[in-house]
Amino acid sequence: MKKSCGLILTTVLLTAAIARAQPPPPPPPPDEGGGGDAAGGGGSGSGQPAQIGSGSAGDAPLTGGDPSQPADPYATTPGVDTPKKRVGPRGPINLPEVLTTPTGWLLPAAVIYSRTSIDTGGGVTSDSRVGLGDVAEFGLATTDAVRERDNLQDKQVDRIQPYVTASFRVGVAEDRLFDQQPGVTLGYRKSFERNHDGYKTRIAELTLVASKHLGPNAAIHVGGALWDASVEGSIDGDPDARREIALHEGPWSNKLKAFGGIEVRPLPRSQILVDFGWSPEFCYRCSDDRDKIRLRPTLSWGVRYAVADFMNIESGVRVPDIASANLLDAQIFGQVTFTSWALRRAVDSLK
Amino acid sequence: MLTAPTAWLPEQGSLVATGGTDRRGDSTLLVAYGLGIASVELGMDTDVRGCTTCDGDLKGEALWMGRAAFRLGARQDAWFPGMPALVLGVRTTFAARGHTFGAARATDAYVVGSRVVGPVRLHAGANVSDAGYRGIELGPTLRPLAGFEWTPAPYPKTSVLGDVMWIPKLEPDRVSLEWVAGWGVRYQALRWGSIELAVRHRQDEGLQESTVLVRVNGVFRR
Repeated sequence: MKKSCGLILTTVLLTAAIARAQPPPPPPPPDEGGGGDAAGGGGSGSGQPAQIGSGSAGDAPLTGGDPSQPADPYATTPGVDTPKKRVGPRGPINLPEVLTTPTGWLLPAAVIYSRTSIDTGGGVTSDSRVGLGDVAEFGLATTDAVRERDNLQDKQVDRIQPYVTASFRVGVAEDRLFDQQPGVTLGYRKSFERNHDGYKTRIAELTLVASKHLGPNAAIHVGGALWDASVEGSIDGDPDARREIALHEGPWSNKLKAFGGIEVRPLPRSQILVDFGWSPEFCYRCSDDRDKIRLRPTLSWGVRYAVADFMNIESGVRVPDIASANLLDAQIFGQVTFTSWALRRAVDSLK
Repeated sequence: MLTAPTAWLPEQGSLVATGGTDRRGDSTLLVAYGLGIASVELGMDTDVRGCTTCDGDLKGEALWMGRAAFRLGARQDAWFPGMPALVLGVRTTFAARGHTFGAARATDAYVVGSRVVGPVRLHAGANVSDAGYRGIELGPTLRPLAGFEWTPAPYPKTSVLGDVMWIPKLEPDRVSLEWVAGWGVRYQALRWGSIELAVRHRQDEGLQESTVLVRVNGVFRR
């Protein structure tokens, strides 16, 4: 039995080795008809429309190659030449944020954007995004813009951080539909629920913003935001009575706000940025429900310095509640942004 | 200058470092980076003082404060001939340690203009100061600031300096502003470095409490 098993095993291995040692069959003569199967009947002749994903130059099938071409499964070179698209480095891009407010510009497809910021208030935030098909972008971020206080007389307004948000934006690039068309994006940003000091809070923001270049060295951004936020906890002062209140229950004037910004480039590598936006503030023990969730105006100005095509240093001043004119709340911030085309190049190289 | 800011900005991509100490051991350390049309500064100083027994304690307690500043401006003659250099600056604290005034904060927002007039460089502006600790606040208060640098023709490496500025003083039940006036000499020993020797007087401190300080500056270009 052992002898027969050994014989069978030897036969299988020898057969396999002989089969592997055979040279690949010569390629068939080129078919003028653009391919076709062995029967010559059901192929894609020159007069036939090409199938999606199989005909256009540069869009060769990612796997399997042309089914009409016999391919050597052991060959080290691809059976089908896939013309490479140009995957060289790209230049700087229009960034999706001014300083704190969104712009009408989207990240190009498969471009990764990252921003890390610190400020004198002890805030550390980050923002990572990726462009999706030149028409959308997705991002995850932490923000320190959401603030809390006990009552309106409380001079110490603290920040709730980290406050994690996810965002999705969709839009149309500048000049895409017609000349002088501004870039337009519709964005939605929503936070994860945050439990802090016994209060559960959430925020959400729907933005529509348009951005337009005014010549090569200036740009303007104008938009509107529909805000929502909620707080749940002992907001009436009774520790045993928990209640939830939301911003959307209030009047439209409390949740619909305008924002905007400008960019000016007086030097080739330096831009002056100014923007005006809004940030939620929770007041846990305020007596009036309208004061428990408020949107406070935020003014920021600063400079973006292009260290390299892929890297910017931004620094400036942010006044979280400009309406209160509290100079002590002003923060000096510094942030660094990186943009990477690596994923885009990797995607292009696969085509 | 010695206490007051000027409208000079570091060159794009250059780093300016300043370190100094006075006879009491109070020190300052500052690093500024030029962003072309702006600069960002990071450092610490003991300019702001607090007094716990303000009747007898003339010199007060030095408060170590981490400082950050952002300055945005235009250079001299940038927009029209004869225009002074202009800077809008905000300076605030990011840390205050080692003193009895917990959670001390101080913020300055200022506009200052600087202009070279022959051998003299003049600086003038307005500063809004606010400071506070533990719920006691000054509130935004406007004060002028001024200074000059004079480089005599026979001594091209030497400048005589003078300035005045109001800075916060923390007291047990309130926050006030006190003026600080300084005068001294800067010697441009190296192309990239200079040394300063100066005297600073503070309001209500009396002449015997005036401090003598020495400071060195270095510029590192990319």
